[in-house]
Amino acid sequence: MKKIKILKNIIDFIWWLSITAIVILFFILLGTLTGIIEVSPNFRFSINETDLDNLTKIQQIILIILHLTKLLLIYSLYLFRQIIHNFNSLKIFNNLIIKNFNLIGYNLIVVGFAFILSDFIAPLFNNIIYMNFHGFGVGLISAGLFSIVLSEIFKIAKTQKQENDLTI
Amino acid sequence: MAIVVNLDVMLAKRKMKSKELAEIIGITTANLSILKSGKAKAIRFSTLEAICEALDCQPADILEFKEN
Repeated sequence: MKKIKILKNIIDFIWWLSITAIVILFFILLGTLTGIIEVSPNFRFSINETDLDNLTKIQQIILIILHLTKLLLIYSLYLFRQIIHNFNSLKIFNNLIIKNFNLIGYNLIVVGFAFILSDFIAPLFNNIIYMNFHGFGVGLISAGLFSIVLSEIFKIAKTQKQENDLTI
Repeated sequence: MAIVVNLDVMLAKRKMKSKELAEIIGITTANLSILKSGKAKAIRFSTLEAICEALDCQPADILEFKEN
């Protein structure tokens, strides 16, 4: 149980750090859009020394979608946090755990594919979406598949437990 | 269900209450209720032995096979 508590604390720390960053970014975005935060006309937003204004609208939309998939990682963290909290209160074989592991799996696979896709289409975007994370996408897909398998294992374990409980 | 539990009938024949039987064989009344209602997935030999001993009967008096 001590190990679960350590893991719970680490996950909680990463979770609150992510949420704080998202909230700050959201308010900066809101401030910029509403004009509360003044942006200099000379300000140029660039990634990998490429100006974002040089991209076409479609390229910008694809770039936004690819980066928004990373929000799924934070959602997965939230789901994993729920799992750890359930483990901590000894609720191990319930539907929430099975559902969450399954969802985490699919989320990781989607993000993994987004990373791989970023690597492939990077030259089309003047390397603006090149993220230097070679193999990370494959790793995420593997972790996602493992999570789905884990969900299936928990499903079988739940049935076994029910049968065991109904053995008088 | 193919296997029918006739525990109610045996209890009535022996004029014994479920609570008494549960105390004698050492299981909870909730578990005995699961057994009586036919919701149980399996029964241990030790439990069957204890029931037979307490009710002075044979396993066939408690369990019966009926075709669906």
